[in-house]
Amino acid sequence: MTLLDVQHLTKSFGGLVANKDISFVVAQGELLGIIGPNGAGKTTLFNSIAGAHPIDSGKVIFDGRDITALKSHQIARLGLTRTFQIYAASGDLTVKENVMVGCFMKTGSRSVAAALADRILQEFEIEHLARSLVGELPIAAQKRVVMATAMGTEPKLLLLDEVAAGLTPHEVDGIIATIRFIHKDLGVTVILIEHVMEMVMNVCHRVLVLDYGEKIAEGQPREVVKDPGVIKAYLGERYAREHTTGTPVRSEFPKP
Amino acid sequence: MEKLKACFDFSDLPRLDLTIAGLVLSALLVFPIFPHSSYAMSTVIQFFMFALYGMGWNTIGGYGGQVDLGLAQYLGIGAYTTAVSMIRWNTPFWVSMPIGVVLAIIWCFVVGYSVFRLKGHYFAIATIAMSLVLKDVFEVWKFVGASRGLEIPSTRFTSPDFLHLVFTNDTYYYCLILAFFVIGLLYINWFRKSRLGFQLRSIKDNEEVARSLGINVQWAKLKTYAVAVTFVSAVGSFHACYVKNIEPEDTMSLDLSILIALMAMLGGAGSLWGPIIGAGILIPLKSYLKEWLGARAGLVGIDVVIYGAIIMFISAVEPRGVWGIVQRVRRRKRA
Ligand SMILES: Nc1ncnc2c1ncn2[C@@H]1O[C@H](COP(=O)(O)OP(=O)(O)OP(=O)(O)O)[C@@H](O)[C@H]1O
Ligand SMILES: [Mg+2]
Repeated sequence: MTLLDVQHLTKSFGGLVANKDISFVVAQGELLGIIGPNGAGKTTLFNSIAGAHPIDSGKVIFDGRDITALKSHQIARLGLTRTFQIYAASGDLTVKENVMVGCFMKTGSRSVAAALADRILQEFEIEHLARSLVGELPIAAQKRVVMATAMGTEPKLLLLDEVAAGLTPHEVDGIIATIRFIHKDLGVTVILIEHVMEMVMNVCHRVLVLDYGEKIAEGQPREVVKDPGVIKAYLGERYAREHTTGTPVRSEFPKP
Repeated sequence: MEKLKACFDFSDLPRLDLTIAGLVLSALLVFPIFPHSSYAMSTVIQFFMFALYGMGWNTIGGYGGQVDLGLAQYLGIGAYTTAVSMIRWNTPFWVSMPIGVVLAIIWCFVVGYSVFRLKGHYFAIATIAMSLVLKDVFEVWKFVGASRGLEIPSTRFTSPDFLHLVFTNDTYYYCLILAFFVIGLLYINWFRKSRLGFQLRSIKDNEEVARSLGINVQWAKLKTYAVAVTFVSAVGSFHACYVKNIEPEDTMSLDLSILIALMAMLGGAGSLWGPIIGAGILIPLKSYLKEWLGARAGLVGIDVVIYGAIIMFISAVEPRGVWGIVQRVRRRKRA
């Protein structure tokens, strides 16, 4: 079943076309990756889908409903939640309070929200941080809090914008486990934007490649990385060589 | 029912806070029994009133981070509604106060609808502008006495008149405003842990993120604004009965709006105790400055200078005011 259907989406800023006639579908239960060089329009695509800004033309159908003209909070309430690439969590709220903000989307009752937050903290293995201020945690833990908060809204579709950026390989493994948990155990469809190729290769069922606002490739991760256009635009010759010769590529790939 | 219980639930606060709060409240409760000057009595009544104004400001300004510098206009709406209806139709306070609140909420939706689209300084300036416009209207509006204001003819009522709040003995006013204060405190204690309270803190932090979590930012701000102006307007109605003589200048001026904001900002914006601490510091200071430095030493306007200095001090040293300093010391001790 199709959960998200993006049709000919175009968004420009002044003369710059950040999303150019992009179409793709995401099936229920899928885990889709979006890759592309800096400034390719990946974050803009999330903004366009999630209603953060009006789009120039095209259509977004979510769960059988046209959400193109809806505002972002309305879209969130329909079950489409996104996280932000640059989001330094506030120093004001504790971890549990942050997660509760998410939980309050579905309930007005404080005790229900608190109970749900407790469960989510446990699932994300951050219950020991419940009373810490988010701003004081290391980045990896903050990212986990951001994902836990998003899960408080009990989404059907979760958009994750570079949750593994800036983490050590070990921390990336932790984030991968968390994403698998969200996807498999909680049954949430996920779209993730990522520069960390290891994550894309190991986690995603399917990958979409953007370059200069356009979709230049789409397919299984193993095939997409062999695509000459993708290698030229994004991965570079070195990645292709190392990848096909089996040399491990662990670290975040150098951004072109 | 759950709401009512939550009002009385202070269990998330440190025991020390509650002990001190309990002691202060008990001291205030027994205060009228002991001999006191009328000057002290009026200062304590003012303390309660301004603590309540500050609590109202703290909802939108502290928890929500929308620095409003025009709240006095709602004080004026409450005060004038009560005064006008009492003078013209003998309306009891208990009727005119809720009517004032309703008028204040209607007006706050008009104001809020336009100003909440603005951010930061633009927002603050817009609230000032709206407030001054309303004050100007009252200055020329004959029906409400224009710039000379209104005087409630207290001789028309026999003290103690509990319907119209006309008392010759200030202790009655004291007990009443104390009751308001306790109700206000319990309400804020519920509010800060309610869904709206959480949504506001998320909005203060980052509106974009708040939206992505399903929060209707504009509506949440408007609802909170309605809460804030309810506090201010209700106490404004009380102000009319207590002072009995109101003018636009002392119910809707910019000075007053700033003073209201200062209660929470000095004490600690976005905290339960903040406005109370702020009022505890500023009201005695205000009386002192007006009475001694202003009247006797001839330093008219010195109070405004001092408020300005306080604002600069807060923004330079600790944006979360006195309570922020307390929290910081506590944190350091624990670490
Ligand atoms: N609000 C905006 N106003 C003007 N230009 C914008 C805006 N948002 C993005 N852009 C431009 O649109 C282009 C795409 O930006 P976007 O943030 O979507 O890239 P990205 O693929 O997410 O890059 P990165 O990998 O660095 O996160 C960039 O050239 C950017 O400068
Ligand atoms: Mg981006």
